[in-house]
Amino acid sequence: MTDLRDELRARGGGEAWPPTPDIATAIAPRLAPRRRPPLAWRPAVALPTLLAVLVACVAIVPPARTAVLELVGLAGGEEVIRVPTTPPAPPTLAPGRGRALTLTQARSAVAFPVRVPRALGPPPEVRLDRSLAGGAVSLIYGERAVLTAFRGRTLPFARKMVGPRTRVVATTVAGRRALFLSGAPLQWIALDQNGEPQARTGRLVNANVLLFDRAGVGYRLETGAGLARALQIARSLSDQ
Amino acid sequence: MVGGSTDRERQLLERARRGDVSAFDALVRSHQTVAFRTACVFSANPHDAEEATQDAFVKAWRALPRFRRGAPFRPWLLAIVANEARSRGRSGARRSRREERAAALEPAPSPDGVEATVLVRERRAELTAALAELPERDRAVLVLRYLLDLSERDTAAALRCRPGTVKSRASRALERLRADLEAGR
Repeated sequence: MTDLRDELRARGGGEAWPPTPDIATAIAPRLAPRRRPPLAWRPAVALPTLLAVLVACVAIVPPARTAVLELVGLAGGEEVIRVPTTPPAPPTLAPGRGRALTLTQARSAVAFPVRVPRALGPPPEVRLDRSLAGGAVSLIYGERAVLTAFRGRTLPFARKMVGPRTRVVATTVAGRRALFLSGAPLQWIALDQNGEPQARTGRLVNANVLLFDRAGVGYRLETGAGLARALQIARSLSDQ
Repeated sequence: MVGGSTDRERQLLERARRGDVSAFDALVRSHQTVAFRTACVFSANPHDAEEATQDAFVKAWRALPRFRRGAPFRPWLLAIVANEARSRGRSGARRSRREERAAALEPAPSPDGVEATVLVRERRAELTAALAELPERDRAVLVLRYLLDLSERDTAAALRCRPGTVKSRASRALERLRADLEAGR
């Protein structure tokens, strides 16, 4: 076997490959200046810009004048904005929860602690979605609940847009602001690993979502249960 | 292949993070060969690999402000390169016929070296053909790990798996390659 390895290494010498093109020169015109996030995605201007656009839409489109339009909350770094209608998600950005793996593998694959809610016990299914910056780990309890954890750095860029039919209740988890969303499905936008915005339609086990954070980790709990049970689950997070 | 970043590379990375184009240019020049060859592993032809490598470096430039300080640069870069080459292959014209994959690894015609005996040439041709016949998964791990001589960590980054998986996958792929070579004799 060793001989075959050596043969392969010898086969892989410089002459085995096509000549390397001058990548550095070719991309130089594309590097300066570094592309900043599109204006609408810069944290300092994102919300005012979005609100300005939506207000303009409300003013221009008569049927929309009666629509509710407000910033309904901020929890776990995720802004929740109520809009007249949630825009359709681009079809090419179908959401997924990533690849299946074990809890141990998930814990070693991401830079943040993956905690398990004692109220639900060990998760029957664990998935890792690498398409979001820092990765997102979902603990899936069949149709009962899904708890997704993601790195805090993603959060300032996360936006959730909810329509008029979604109820938003402000609450707390471990003394920090949390939001409970129930009713109609929602849409959220986050940055992928290349910093590009991704729109995703909420794929919910049902329409209830609790957003909260703990020690720099953001959590999204999707559950068919009501607020009281969701809070019980959220408050039972354990490192074990 | 050194997996960790040198002091000089760390300095270049820090300057590039702050927007210094010349520092990033130096980083590109020091990694463009391994990046291009990695792209070749996942591309149908050198032209696709070149485009994928260019786009990957541009994406790396844009993503640098979010690159974790102190983390090794090469695995991060190769993961972007491999991802770019794979997605290009998926959206392209599916020209991944085995002959073309083998051609992507074929050298440009070179002057006839003294060592290039007929036997060596034949054996190399056998190896190339056997590699091209392997399933994609096996071929990729062998080419990255041995032909390109990447570390297990760098190979794992390009293959989106754990270093331990690289070891076991490479071992199985070697067994298969050996069996194929013996069967072809």
